[in-house]
Amino acid sequence: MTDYSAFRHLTIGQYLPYGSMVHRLDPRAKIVMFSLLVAAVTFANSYTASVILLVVLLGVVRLSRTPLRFALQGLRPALPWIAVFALMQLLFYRNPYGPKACSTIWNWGFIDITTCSIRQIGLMILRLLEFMILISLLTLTTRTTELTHGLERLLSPLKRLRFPAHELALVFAIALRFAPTLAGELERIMKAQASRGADFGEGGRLGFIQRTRNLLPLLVPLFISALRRAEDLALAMEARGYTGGRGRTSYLQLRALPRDYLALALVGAFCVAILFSTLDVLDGFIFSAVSAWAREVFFHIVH
Amino acid sequence: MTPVLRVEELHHTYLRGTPFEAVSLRGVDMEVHQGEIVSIIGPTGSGKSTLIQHFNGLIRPQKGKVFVLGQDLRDPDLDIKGLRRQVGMIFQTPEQQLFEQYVGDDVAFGPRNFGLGRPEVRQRVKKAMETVGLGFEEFKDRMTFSLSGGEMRKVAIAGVLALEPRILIFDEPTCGLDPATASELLSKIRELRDEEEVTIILVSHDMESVAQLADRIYVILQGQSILEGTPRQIFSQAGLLRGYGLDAPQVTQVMHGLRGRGAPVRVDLLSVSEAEEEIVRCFDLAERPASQCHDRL
Amino acid sequence: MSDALPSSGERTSMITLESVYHTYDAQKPHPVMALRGIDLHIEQGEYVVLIGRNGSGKSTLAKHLNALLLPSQGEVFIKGMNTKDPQHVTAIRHTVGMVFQVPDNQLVATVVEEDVAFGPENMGLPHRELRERVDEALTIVDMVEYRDRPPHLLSAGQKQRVAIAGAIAMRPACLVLDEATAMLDPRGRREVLDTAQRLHAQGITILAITHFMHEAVEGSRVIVLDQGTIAMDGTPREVFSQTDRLRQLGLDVPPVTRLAGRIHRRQPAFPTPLLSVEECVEELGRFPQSTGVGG
Repeated sequence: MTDYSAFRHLTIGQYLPYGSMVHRLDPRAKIVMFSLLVAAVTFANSYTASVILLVVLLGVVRLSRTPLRFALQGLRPALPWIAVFALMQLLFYRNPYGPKACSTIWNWGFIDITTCSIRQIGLMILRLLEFMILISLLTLTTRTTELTHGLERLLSPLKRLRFPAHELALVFAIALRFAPTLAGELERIMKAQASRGADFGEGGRLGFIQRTRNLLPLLVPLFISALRRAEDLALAMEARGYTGGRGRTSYLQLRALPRDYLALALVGAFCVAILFSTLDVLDGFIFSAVSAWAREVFFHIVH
Repeated sequence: MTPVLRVEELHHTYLRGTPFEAVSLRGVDMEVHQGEIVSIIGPTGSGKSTLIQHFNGLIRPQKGKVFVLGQDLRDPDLDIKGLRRQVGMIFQTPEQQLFEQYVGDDVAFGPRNFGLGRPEVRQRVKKAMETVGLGFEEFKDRMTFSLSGGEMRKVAIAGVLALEPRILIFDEPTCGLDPATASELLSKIRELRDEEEVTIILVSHDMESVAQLADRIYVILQGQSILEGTPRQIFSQAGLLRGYGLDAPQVTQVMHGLRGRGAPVRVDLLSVSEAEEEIVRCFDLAERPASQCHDRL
Repeated sequence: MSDALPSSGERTSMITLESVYHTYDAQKPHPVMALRGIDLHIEQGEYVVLIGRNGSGKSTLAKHLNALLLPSQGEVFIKGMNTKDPQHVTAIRHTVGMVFQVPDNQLVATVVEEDVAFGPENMGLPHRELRERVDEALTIVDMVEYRDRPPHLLSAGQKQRVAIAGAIAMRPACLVLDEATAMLDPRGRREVLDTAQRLHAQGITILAITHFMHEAVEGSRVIVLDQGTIAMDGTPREVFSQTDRLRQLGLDVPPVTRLAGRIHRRQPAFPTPLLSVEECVEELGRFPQSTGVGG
């Protein structure tokens, strides 16, 4: 049973005003911290580092007074994909460390499940979790308008190099402004076409190709509507005296306070520490614990 | 005679169990008989949209019962697609659903979805287009998006008519149309009932057209059906309606105004002619009025 | 050559159109002449309602008033400034504000107060002035409590009021409502029309474009457009009294006006045309009730 109205309430990008200190940080600082943390998450290569990152991130979520389930909301639609990736990794991972570094848990033809593949999957899942929390943290604690202004201010020095910072920020802001509107429109169009007997795979009986072809009655009207809105909006903007970024002032004022610099310094130091550490104290412990558990599971499945 | 549509104590809550939970219907009862034109009126947000989306299975009853053409919409094995062939829904600004390059193809979309053969599809498209006033030969090969707004709306309506449904639901059919086109559309709606015996459900804000067309009216407020009756019965309660944020047709408002001044006039009148007759009956127009000003104009 | 200084008395009106023609798709196989020789003067402080069927050229005319469109032939002057002169375009757009038909497609920001600030931001006003103007505009349209809401959660009527706020934050001398009520429900329409009346009371010139006849009574002057020309121009009463002409033009009078017309035929002393329910009740109230009919 399809609940068409779910589209309207996507929570990625939704601002939840819990008024914590995280909410009150300058958006420019938050964007930079976000980028640093993304780098740390991407390049941390030990269980220990990842676990520390996870704990720290969960701590920040707590600090922001946001309930954890919101931070993990984005995970739910991605779960089937994560499962697929995990399976692919599990079955097809090629060990780059040499046969001595990993012990085989199970072997069947070219499928080689080793402790190393388990390790990779573990890391991958941890990383995904951390990315999800990071993105949610940023969007749940920062108004979209702050995000776009923050981005524009950060990129504005690049204007001297003819980089269209203002235009990009405007495009971003308008996209965010219209995302829920277009989602609502998609809902309306789906209902209208379904009412005419169109099948959107309710019940999943359709093949992939058929399902794609069935998208035309959805995508064409949506696209045309988006174009029409763009035209109308451009006219309205012109009528209100918009002639590009030059000479514009800003209603939203951003002021960096000492606490923003402090937070930035802390996070910066932390990320540097993570990236350049070779901390794998816990690695051995976690590694063997997970491997033992995995071995047990496989034995039970296979035998 | 069994009604073609019956709603019993229908409740609906959007996004149950999420922080965005919103109760939309709190117990609606409704009944529609074959060949009736029934209008649903109510302020914005009263639940009218949610209600009508139950009628063709877009929303399934969470609590309460809905029976359409003898089928129970709570039945998990319900043939939804089959239902949609019999219950046609025309949304607000339906021209937004057009997607085919050529008019004829878009009108044919519905029939094709139901696996009808080519000659049958062609015949239905032709009939549907003629009904809305778009000549088949003239318009079938026109580019859909090159038409005017009014014409595109006709194409969208034809697309639903081509299914030849037994029940037709219109959601604000005249929204955005100029008076001449609106009036044309409304008479076509009546024709559909008169000539094809289609049962019509009409959701509208335009009280003048509701008063003209509807056999019966349901007033929905905050998710409940609070009033039901003929247009005369409903609009004679103008005070009540105003409290709900609804209006009555202009001439009915005049009658209420006169009644408010102590004149014993009927208030259940809908048309200009009726109002004229009643005024002539109750007022002595032969007498010069008190304190008149000759040079008023 | 710019017309910075008005050379004739005519051009001191708020809006002047001189023999304006406009053709769409002039280079293509099927050009459409939307305006055919419009001559029009609108003075400061008027409330003019422009009525016509779809295709009469109403929207095209509206867009000439703030240089969104330029005449194919003829001239348009806003407070003496010729719209064809690129140097005047900015000033013209500060003088004539416009609200369009689809509420959603005018709101550009993710938060109401930011959207209202968009126009003043474009004017390069200093921050304190931006805040002042936003507060003022939101107060006039009665949307202050919604200032930090996202636009997609507002009703259509509320969105239109925000759009109006966005236009008046630029402090225009004139506001054009281009079918601003077409997509609204009765309550939304009432909200927009009441706001327009409030603005008019403050001295802003209002030009409301609509196809609803009953909205014609909002203003002091009604102009009927038909196929690109002005067919009628007068007070609401003058225009409504010509019911046959209106019907020819594909327009009609509201039911209450028709009723008044019929009663007038029976009793010439009954005034016509009448424009509202209140007026009709008032006038009928002057007549004595019939005796012997339960009176």
